[in-house]
Amino acid sequence: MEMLIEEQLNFDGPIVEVKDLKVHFVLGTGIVHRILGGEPRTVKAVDGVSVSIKQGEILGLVGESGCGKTTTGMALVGLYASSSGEILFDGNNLKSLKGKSAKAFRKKAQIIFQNPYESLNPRFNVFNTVAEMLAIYRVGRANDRNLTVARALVQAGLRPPESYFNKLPHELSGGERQRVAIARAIILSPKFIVADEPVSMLDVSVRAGILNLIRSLSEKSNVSILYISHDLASVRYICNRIAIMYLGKIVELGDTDTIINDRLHPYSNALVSSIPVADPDVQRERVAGTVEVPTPVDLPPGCRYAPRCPHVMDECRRDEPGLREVALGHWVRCYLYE
Amino acid sequence: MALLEVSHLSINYKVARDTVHAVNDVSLKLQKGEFLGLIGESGCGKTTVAMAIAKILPPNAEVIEGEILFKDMNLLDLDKEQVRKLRWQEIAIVPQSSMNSLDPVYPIRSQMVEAVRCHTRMEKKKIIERASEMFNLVGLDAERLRDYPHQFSGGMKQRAIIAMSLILDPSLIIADEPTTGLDVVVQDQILLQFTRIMKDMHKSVLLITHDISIVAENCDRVAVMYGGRIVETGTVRDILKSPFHPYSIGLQNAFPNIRGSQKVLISMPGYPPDLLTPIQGCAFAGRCPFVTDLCRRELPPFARVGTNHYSLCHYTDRVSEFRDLGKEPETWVR
Repeated sequence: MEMLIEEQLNFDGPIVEVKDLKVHFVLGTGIVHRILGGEPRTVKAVDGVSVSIKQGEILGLVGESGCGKTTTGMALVGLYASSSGEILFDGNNLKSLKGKSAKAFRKKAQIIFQNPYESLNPRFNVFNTVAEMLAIYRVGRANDRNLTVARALVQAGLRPPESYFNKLPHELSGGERQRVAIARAIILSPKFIVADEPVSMLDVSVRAGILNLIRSLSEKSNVSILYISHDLASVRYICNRIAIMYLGKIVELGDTDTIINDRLHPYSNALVSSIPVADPDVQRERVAGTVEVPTPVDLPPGCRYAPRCPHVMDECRRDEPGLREVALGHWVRCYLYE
Repeated sequence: MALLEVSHLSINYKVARDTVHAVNDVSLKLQKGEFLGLIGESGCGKTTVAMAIAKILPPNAEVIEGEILFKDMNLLDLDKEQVRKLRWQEIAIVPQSSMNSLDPVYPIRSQMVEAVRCHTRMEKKKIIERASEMFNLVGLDAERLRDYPHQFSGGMKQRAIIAMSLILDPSLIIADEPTTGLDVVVQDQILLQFTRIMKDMHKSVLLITHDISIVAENCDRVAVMYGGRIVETGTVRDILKSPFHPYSIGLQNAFPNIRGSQKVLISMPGYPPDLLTPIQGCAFAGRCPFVTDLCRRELPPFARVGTNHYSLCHYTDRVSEFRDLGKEPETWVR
């Protein structure tokens, strides 16, 4: 059992608490495989994640594709069922929520997807896209919807809001579409939002606007955000804390400054030092190591990063290291720091 | 004499009853052994320029004017047969999402042989020998030439494509977003190797990307495209340290950095122009905080602002004012 990460400098209680979350997918093995008595194979997409997200905090979840960061995000808003472990939302276990309480949870936990070109219904205009949320959760009277929708659009930076009401997604640019998706996510004043790579499909010149918007949402409305991304530069810009994930497990967790400047795990180091720098005066030190990522099926024992790690030791291949607190609020999963 | 010289290139696309003015009056030069980065947002025309040079424009594209001189030949005048001889031997392409450009049902080796045989009469044995050499060069085991694409990871496929592009020793490599879609660690290693190999072999490279930091680390010169035009061109240092065009100035404050102190990001208001209608005046006028009536009315000249540093702006003389104001978020608020 993973050690639970307690918040020590915490004025507000955590809004989301994840304890040893596992999400496993059973691969559809072929009929021949089954006749021959083969065991079904499982993809351990999320394999023991423990983390808590405070009120008003933006937590960055960073890792390469296939590391399980999106699966974690989807599980936290109830889009994937957990295989084991607990997700506590506002103190309630997600698994125990049924009927009305489940609906109340979904109202408070929203998600913004990566691709605004696919996440919006092409036949719904902006007003209907955003107002649909009010209808589903029966919020307010139908007469007041115009005002509520307009307010959400303004909050998402779409001004003047009325001019967007009748537009269809194809009439909007990528940045505007993502703002509509954000308006839809915030209209019910949620307590928690999962933002899954919300800017990766957008151009640089509009990206900054969306990042600033997400940051101001957490500052102004005290909403907690799980910001999932592989882009450490944008994570550094908006997140209070960063969790680095590798093959289904968190390998390092700490304050943004700690992870960027005083990171300890060899994988975090490889990630941060691989990012190109747009400054001809900076000579970047590159970290050696192999780059092939194993798939999260049939993982060998020991540390998952051992096959790529430049500091690998014998014990790394035998047992998996635990997540330990090396400094206040700074957690690392590595034998080098035991 | 430059290896490649594109002058006054304009390209339109016919889409249903509309015309997209994708590339307008683009000129650029690429010397032997030089790395030129072509950067810009999606839809700015950078890939269209690359496709025109590689002669792979789709049928609905029409070159309105201009010429593309490669080793003194105008590529636009060549017929199919001449182009076939040029490809791979003189000009090779590392395409966008090249991970998907390998045929899943043939081993990598057969695909290499087939591709080379289209362009030369080289013997099969010789081709495989050469392919093995190139595989070693990009860090792949030559044994794996017999493998099928699905046995390779994304990064390995990308390496295989780079090896393929070098097989006939071309002098110009066009790399269109060569590492987009790869993970950061893999991207970093491939780019490091790619740049090192190309530099060692004195190849000229046209690197097309939306990522300014990739250009900063790998290129000698940069051309910034916006709304179908090149708006600024110069060395990497020119563009990053002393930009002249308001768009380049705005870009500097628009992306977060992993090093140094964290500044507040400033987003440029508005969105890139719609290329369906020809733009009168400056393409950036609609978003530029320093816009005047002149900008909306007249296309600015390509003003020389330094040695080989040009900016498409009426007000290059006011640049220090622009740079100072450009750092203030209020400047960009509309």
